Amino acid sequence: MYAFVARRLLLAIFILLCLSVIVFIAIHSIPGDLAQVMLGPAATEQAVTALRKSMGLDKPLHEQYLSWIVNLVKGNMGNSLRMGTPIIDEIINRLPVTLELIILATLLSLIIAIPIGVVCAVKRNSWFDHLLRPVSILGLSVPDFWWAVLFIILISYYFPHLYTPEYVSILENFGENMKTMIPASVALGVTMAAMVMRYVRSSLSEVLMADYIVTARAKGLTETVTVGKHAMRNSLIDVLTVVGLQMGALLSGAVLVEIVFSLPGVGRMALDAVLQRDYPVVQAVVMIIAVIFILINLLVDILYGVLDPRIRIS
Amino acid sequence: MSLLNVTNLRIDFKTLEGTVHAVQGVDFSLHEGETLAIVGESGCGKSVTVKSILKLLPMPPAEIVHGEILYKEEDLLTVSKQRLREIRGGQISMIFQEPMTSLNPVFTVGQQIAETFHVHQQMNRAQAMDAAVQMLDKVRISSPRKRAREYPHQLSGGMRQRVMIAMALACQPQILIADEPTTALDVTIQAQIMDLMGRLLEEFQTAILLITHDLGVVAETAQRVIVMYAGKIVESGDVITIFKEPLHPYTKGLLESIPCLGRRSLHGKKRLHEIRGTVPSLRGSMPGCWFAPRCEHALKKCQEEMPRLKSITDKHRVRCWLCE
Repeated sequence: MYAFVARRLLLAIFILLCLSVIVFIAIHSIPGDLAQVMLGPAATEQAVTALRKSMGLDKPLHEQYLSWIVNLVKGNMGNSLRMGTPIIDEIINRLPVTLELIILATLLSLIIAIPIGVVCAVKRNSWFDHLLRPVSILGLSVPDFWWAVLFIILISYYFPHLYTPEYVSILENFGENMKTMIPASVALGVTMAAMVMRYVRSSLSEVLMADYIVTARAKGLTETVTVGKHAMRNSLIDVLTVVGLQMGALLSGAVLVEIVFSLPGVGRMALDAVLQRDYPVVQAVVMIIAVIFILINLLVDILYGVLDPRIRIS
Repeated sequence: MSLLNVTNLRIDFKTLEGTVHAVQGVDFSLHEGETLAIVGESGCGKSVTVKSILKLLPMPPAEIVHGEILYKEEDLLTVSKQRLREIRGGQISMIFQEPMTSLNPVFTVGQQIAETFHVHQQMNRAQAMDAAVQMLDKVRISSPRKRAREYPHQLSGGMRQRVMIAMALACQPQILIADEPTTALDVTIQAQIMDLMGRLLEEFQTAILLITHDLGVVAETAQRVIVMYAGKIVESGDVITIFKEPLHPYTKGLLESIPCLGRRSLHGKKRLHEIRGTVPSLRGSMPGCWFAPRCEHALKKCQEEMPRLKSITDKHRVRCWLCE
């Protein structure tokens, strides 16, 4: 098991390195001179040259990359061009908000989607199943931002006592934090819930037709144990794949939800940086989001090993 | 003493293309400690018949239209769910054809055997695992304690089938239903497995209902045999009588089809004998005997009326106009 985790970890580091190169090249491939773009067309030649020098843009590309990556590993993400403050401080303040949003959205969608999917699979083609399938299509087709806007209107209009617009840290006041984060997480998690529910239904339906399920019944096990233990363990392996992929989609959806719900998260930071052409921030935030995504995938990979002995013991 | 009595069992499958009459009025009984073999071609209804004993058929498409399955005095088709669960694995066990897909890939073999002990004998985890290791030893798996911690994909086909046998015989059931247990295994392993089963069944005094299409296995292990064709029993009786004096043309055909290497077959020909034609579709119905189209000795009556299962002696029954 440890060898398996170690291998996955090394692979993750390798992927991150490749990603850093891609991110760096992407930022520096923006057409036009970076300093010129930042200062605008009215800037003087001197100002542009001075900025270029101070940003280290006159050095060769690989040198720039190396100095960036070395600093990154040391924890120095550089300074925001707009505010001049260290980026890392901003990120430390904002990252927990985004992480909380994503984790809460995932948890809520799993709590709703898995039981519904199980019922639909066990009672295939019942009225419940027939009802939930179009509902799930609705969840899949409607875009994140529409759900977000809809939810914020509904909740602040009809249930104002259940919603707090101002973000408060979870460590300061759990209740108020939940009142802000839960509506946002639900808005973010709707699409994921719809997808997970469909996957649970199809995966479990297939597993329930397997020979080892007949064996389980032939042993005299109750239907609850047969489905809940024997079938689910196998079905969850497939569902895990979807959850891993969907969390990537959550990361991008988070930006929209953070804007609609005015949450001080990393997503909003990224958008602001892009609009303000604050490229060091853009670079840093993209790397952070990439790191999060890779860590999520690493976790999914490890969980595969935990759930499926065929992968663990090859 | 009759352990199991199946009376007039009829099972249909409702499909989009019509109703399939998989089992059409099957009667038989199984006695304590005996081995009863059911033979027939693929699709003749033997698997469906035995699966219905423990109600393991998927009940939306399948429907038990008629019949009674008496285990001792209880009708298995009407017992409560709770009672059925007690019987499954505890009194009547089943092993299947494909040991690879019949074991859950995410649990160790030890855990899967221990589960039976836990459910039927209320053992705790440690006791159940010990008992599981003992069973693995009984089925002649070496290093049983180490093997118990392994997963099905780490074992060979023969070993997996031994695990299935261990799981089925764990609680010393009265009846073991074996649905083609050796079909998926190679010949040398087949012999080992049949040998093992024979020993254990004798030790535990378990009766066995053996489904097979291998007449060699029937000759070696069974006391009585039932021959099925297209959902019906066409001949049944004790093995020696059936093999020596088969009465039904289908049974004769099956016995003649056994390839004999290096020796001439019953008719002194070297060419492999076959029963011409194919098994009829079980959808819809046909007047007359369903084997008639393939039968060399078919009479006019055979096309018109279905013969009834008649007792030639108290041990030998045939369904054929030629024997009336």
